[in-house]
Amino acid sequence: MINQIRADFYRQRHTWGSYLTVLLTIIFSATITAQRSVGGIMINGTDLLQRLENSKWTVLSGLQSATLSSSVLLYGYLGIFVIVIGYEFSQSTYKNTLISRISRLQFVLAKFLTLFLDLLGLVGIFYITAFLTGRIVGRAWGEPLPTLLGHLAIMILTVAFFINVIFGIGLLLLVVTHSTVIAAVTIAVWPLLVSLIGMTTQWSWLKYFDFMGTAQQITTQSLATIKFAPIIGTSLGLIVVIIVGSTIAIRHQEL
Amino acid sequence: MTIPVLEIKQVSKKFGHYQALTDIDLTINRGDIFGLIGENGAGKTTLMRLITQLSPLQQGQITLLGETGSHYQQALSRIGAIIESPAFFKKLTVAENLKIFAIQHGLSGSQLIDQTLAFVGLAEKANTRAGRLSLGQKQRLGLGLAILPQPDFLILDEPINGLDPAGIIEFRQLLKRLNQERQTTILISSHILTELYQVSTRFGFIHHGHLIQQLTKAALDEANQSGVLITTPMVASAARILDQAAYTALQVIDDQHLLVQATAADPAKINQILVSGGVAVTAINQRTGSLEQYYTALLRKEGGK
Repeated sequence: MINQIRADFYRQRHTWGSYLTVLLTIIFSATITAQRSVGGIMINGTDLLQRLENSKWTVLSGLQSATLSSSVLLYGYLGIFVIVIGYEFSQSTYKNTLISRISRLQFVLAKFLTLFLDLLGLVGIFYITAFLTGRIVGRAWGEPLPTLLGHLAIMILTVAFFINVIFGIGLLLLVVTHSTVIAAVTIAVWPLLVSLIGMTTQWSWLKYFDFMGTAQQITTQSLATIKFAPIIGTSLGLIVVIIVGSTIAIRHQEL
Repeated sequence: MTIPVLEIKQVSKKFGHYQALTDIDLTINRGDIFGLIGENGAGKTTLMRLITQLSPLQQGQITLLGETGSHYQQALSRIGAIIESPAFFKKLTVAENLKIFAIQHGLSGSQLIDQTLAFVGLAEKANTRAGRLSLGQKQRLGLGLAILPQPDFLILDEPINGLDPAGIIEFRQLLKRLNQERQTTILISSHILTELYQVSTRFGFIHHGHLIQQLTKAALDEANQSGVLITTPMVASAARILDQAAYTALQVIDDQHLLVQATAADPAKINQILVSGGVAVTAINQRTGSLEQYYTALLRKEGGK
């Protein structure tokens, strides 16, 4: 499994799309932080958005703004999803992979972990750029530096984790259907779809599947106000379903 | 001593209502180059996909390099395969594709990659994007990926499809070198029967999902009356002299013709032995068996059943 992760990282290091994604992440983060513009895909504006618009910006404001814009990352990082796992199916290279020592479960786990490590790195670059840009343009920290750094770490981990859950849904669909298009479209429409269905049906339980909304809540609200257990429980349960489901599907498929 | 590399027992496979394979029993021993012959849809690729676990096994048992059940995965790491068509990352270079495969197998060092590139004749294309290779070069890259981990067993599904005549000859030489220099056992399928005849040491004929016959190259040659055909008015003397010279596989066809059933026999040397023994040789010809004729006759026989 480790060898598969190493192979995927080698492949990404030799793919210009990876470098382009890093570059676009830096440009996007620096621009929205420097320009004080909050971009993103939100069904409803938040209180935070209004507060940000009417207040003097600090480095913390910049990080919060970055969080509100983080829904854009889901679309920006679709390319990474395609590079890491989509190519395997579109170019049938999984045949080579699965004839090596790796088991089906290890293959799925390796892909999931590679995506998570990629997202952790990219989201890290996104937030650290926002952090540095805020400082470069002369803003105050907004809270004590150690606390700010703690918030920064939580923001990176949370946003990467929830984007990875949505990518995981794409992974399961890709393995089941062998269609990169279906997987990519599902990833792209997931936040909008969940929000729209939630608004139409008023199903309160759908909030546990609104991963980008949850990520924004966790990183912008007081941690004490959020009920973590059901949110994290749903996400972890879904990850188990994704990994087990993908493994079972790939074991029973004509590859 | 024959060591089985692959043992297939009572393997059957169904796709919905379509019976793709029925009760296949097959053993491939170490050192064999096993040529699998059959028409389109006969079940050759399905069998290879079952061996490589790209298709789930429904019925029967496959033992690969002595491993079965939960240890089968370990045996898979000792094989190389091209199934249907070579698969690689088109936007990466030839060397990068090999490097990825090496990392996946836990192999290190660029020496192995350089050796493989040289072996398959792609050293000059190391930095060319795989997607820009010609069809023949893609097949070579596929073979390079398959042999990179220095497998004990190589499975090649139609590897010479699309190769030009020079490419086919080179590919044949590569396979023979692999078999002789690295003792790699090979299972190969191809529609080009003349080529399959040239490289294989054993043959299996698959028809409508049934393995209808297996035989060695020697048995095929015998059945096809292949070998060195001698025309002489002194058949009895010729047979006695050649028998004394350790040519034991002899067949007297009529009072003018004698067949030495060994395709590797040297006609010049036989001629010399006979002339030295006082036998007048009118003509001496190499008579090669046609795998195609044998296969066609076999299918006709099967069709008549």
